[in-house]
Amino acid sequence: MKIRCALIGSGNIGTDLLYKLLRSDVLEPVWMVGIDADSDGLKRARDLGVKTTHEGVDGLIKHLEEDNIEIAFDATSAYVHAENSRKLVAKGVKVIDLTPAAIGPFCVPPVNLDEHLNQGEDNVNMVTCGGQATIPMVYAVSRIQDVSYGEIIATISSKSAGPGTRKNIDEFTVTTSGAIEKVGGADKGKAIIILNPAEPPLMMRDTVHCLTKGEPDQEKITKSVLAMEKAVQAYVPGYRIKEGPVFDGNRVSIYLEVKGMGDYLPEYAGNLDIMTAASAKTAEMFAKQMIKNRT
Amino acid sequence: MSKIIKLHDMSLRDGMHSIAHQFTLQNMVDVSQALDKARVPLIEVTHGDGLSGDSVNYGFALHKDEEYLSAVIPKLKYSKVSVLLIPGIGTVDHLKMVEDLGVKTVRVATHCSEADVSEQHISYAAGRGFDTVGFLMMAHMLSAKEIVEQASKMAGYGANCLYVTDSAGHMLPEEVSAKIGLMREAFPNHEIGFHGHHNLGMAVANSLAAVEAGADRIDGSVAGFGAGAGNTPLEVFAAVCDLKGINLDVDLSALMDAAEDVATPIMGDKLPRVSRGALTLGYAGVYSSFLLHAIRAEKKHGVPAREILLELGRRKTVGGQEDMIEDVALELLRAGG
Repeated sequence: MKIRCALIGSGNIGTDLLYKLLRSDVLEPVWMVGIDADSDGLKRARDLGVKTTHEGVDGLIKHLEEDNIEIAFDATSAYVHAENSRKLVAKGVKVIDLTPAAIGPFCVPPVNLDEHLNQGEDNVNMVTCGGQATIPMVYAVSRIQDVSYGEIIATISSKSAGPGTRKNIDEFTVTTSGAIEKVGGADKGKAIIILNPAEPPLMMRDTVHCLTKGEPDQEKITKSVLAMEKAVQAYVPGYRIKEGPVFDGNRVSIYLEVKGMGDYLPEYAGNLDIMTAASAKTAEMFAKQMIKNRT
Repeated sequence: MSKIIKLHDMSLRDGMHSIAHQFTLQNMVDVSQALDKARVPLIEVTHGDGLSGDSVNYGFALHKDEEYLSAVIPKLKYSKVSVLLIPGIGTVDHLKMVEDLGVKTVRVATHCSEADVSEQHISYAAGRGFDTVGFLMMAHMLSAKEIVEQASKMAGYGANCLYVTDSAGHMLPEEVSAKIGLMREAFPNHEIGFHGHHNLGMAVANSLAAVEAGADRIDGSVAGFGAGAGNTPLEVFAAVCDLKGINLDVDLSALMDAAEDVATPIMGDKLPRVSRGALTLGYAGVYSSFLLHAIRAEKKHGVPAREILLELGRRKTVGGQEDMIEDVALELLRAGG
């Protein structure tokens, strides 16, 4: 048995996610929603046998019941998410939000997915690509020792940043810094994003700086950080610590690289991969819970 | 009377890089008062990396941007104050935080090929009636035609002034002439600006080339404060312009005094010069503010700053990627570099 889902948004993120869902044992992508009938994402979806509409979320709502859609992913933009979510939740659909709207609680799977499963939320927010790559590491430090300040720098290739990301770049910094505090456990969070146009495109890289209260316990923090690397690798195989943890006074720095699976955009676009993989993983856990409750 | 070229002082923003963002409020007041006396029309005041630049990555300033702006602006009689904002670091919220402090000009800076990340900030600033500048950094990395394409986006969002920014101090005068010349032609109704760095010793010559190609605004700083080997030294540029009959409408003697008597003593042994590291920036086309961070990485990890900077140039790093410096240093260390 598989739980049937819909994808809203046919840009880079929605299309990459579609490939991941097609591989899932517990999720079946049934609908893909866009606003442009000629978009590459919708074309690919049609070729893969997925139903499509270019009439936005309203084009989907009327089919929710007959197609038994139970989970929807929203990869549109922060501005339209609230309205999309309201319409879907009213029909009893669980919403995984890949925009930086953050109406629902933040979900970073290796840190707090279990918590959300127990609470049965209608809408969870996947923070941002930079947040998914770095917040596990902030948490890996803060679970050992208090972190007074956590800062992340996400560098992505220009080619992997779509027009939505560019138009609303402030939402990235604001949402990510909030989640560094709420999920990562830092007293204060800061996020920086940089687009680099180099050719060939550079692999997504992320830097995490934590300032600990008191001298960092190097041995325990290193162990915790390495364990977290493995936990993320379980769903993002291309995730790795490139350098560190480096200790300098009360600063702990970790340099990360995220190689994508090359589902939609090539491997350099680890930023797409980590976002869609985390969303797919979250939905799978919800789906397993739904299936279990039924049998 | 020929047109007046507008000088924009960078001492208290780009100059923050030279001193690891550690100006005191009194330093800021003293320098801005001296510039006011010299009738410099615009002075930029913020963290070296713009509003909200305060970070582990770029360094924490001694004071918040709001504190610096509040200390400087009320005391000025003639000069107006600008702030810098780099999308991805600062947000529209940071702009809102300082807009009641008397700031007149907002400059929004992006890497030269990424102008479309500035839409939120430029349209906000223009909508609020600020003198709004689009600032294309590392402009040596694109052709003149591509710079014009990117600048059109910023003009479309509402910028009234467009800059060619030589962040790496890598350009030579003929390149400046070509880029400013094409911008002048493409945007007859916009102001065009040039921001230079002195890493190859060309800042004055480049700024002069920019004026001759039609630029309206020139950035520089007294005593050449600024990242790398510093920005165009304003007192030197003003003297050259005077000899060339270019009208800046500033008091040259007061500008020389500001540089010698006020600015230089503050910087002490940190006064920028074409050091080996700064020259490497200009030579390899690397973002000027990487300099002190590379020297710090050399001290901590024992990898020569020059090797780190050359490698950062080969990897085509852009402004803001200070976090690559320690990463590359460790990689070179392991490779036996």
